[in-house]
Amino acid sequence: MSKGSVKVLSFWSSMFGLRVHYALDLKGVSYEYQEENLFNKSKELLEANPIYAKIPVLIHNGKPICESLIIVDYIDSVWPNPHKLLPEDPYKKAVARFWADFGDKKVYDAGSRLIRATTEEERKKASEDLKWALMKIDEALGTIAPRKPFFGGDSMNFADVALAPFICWFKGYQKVGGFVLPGPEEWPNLHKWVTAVKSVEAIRKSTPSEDKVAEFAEVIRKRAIGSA
Amino acid sequence: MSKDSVKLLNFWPSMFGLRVHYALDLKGVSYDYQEESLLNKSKELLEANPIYTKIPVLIHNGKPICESLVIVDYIDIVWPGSHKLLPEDPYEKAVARFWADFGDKKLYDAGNRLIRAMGEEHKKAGEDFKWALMKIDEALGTIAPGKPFFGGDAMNFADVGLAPFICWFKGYQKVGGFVLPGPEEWPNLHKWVDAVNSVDAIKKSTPSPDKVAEFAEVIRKRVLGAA
Repeated sequence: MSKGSVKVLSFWSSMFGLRVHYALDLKGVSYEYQEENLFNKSKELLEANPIYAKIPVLIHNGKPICESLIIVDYIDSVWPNPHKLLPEDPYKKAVARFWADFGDKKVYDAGSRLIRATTEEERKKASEDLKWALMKIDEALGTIAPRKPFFGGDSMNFADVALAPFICWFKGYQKVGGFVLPGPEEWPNLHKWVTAVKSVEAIRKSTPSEDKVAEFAEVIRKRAIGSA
Repeated sequence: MSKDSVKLLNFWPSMFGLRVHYALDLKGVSYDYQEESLLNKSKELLEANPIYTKIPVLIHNGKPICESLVIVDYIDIVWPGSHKLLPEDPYEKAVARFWADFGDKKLYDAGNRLIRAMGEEHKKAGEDFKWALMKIDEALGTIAPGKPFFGGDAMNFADVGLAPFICWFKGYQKVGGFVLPGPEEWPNLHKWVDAVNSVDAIKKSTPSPDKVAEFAEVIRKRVLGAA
């Protein structure tokens, strides 16, 4: 399966890193994993990603690929089978890319602001924005793949891989941000999707425990308040 | 060229919209153009892009595609024929995507702060903007040494992702109160700018840098007035 040496530089709780894990694990690609200390980044990381000095980085046969969605795209090109992530149809491909990118623009953005909010006003707005984003995902699932568990229909596609990593952060968002996730009566598609994602073995392989992530979210929050 | 219906909803100074123009024009695709007033968005735009209500939107045979780099990617797949924008090689493709995305993360971000930020933040925006162009100059030298474009002899996905910022240089310098380093400092960037500006398809839709600078100053005045 492996086409050469494959190494992932990441941080255990990063949803961006998790996208890379998910893509590789769904395709059964073997890889080495290197946990980075974000306060003491390795020389390897700084050389592999001099522009952003961020994880995740995929190093394939010595060549670094940066930015999580670009990495997932790369993985899908190099290892198309099994489990192709990007649809063949150009329009469906564009729709999948759109929702993957929505994860960055709307879910990550609101979640990040929620955890780091120093005023009640900031927290409230971030919470509303996060709710709106997840509601849009619930609606999109109903439109794009009605009665199917995933954006990709019966199996996870590029959009699923990009959005699924936020699932293990829901507990953290609720704990530190006071964000309450509406239940399945309100968001049936989202909850079905969450259940379906969690039942995929390849996903379980690298997903950190929600409790550990929630603990970590509290650490970030304390730091944010402390420096405010 | 097929009898597709291709329509672009855009706003004339938008560098994101320009990416779509460039992709379509480089490939010789015919399309309808609809100028949007951002203070009075058309019903068509709001229905085509309900999530962001932003331009550009490409409407192809009635189906909307949103987000400029997603649109350019789509265009490259549907009309691969003349002037393929994404390299075939997966690594080269990833590098091209990286630099197109750099346009959003670093160039647009700094440019936007140049127009809207104050005091120390404004000064930092100028430094960040120059840093970003310096990195592009270095990248051109590494990725395509001795060649005019990221794509070598012809513009590729990275070139299309970044070229729209060129017509904004004058505006950014004006509102930022700085002058960009010349070709002695940034030889690759300046060669790239000249090469881009000489491409007919690029000249077709690029607004005049003077008009863009005027527009940039209008926004800045509004920002300063509201401060």
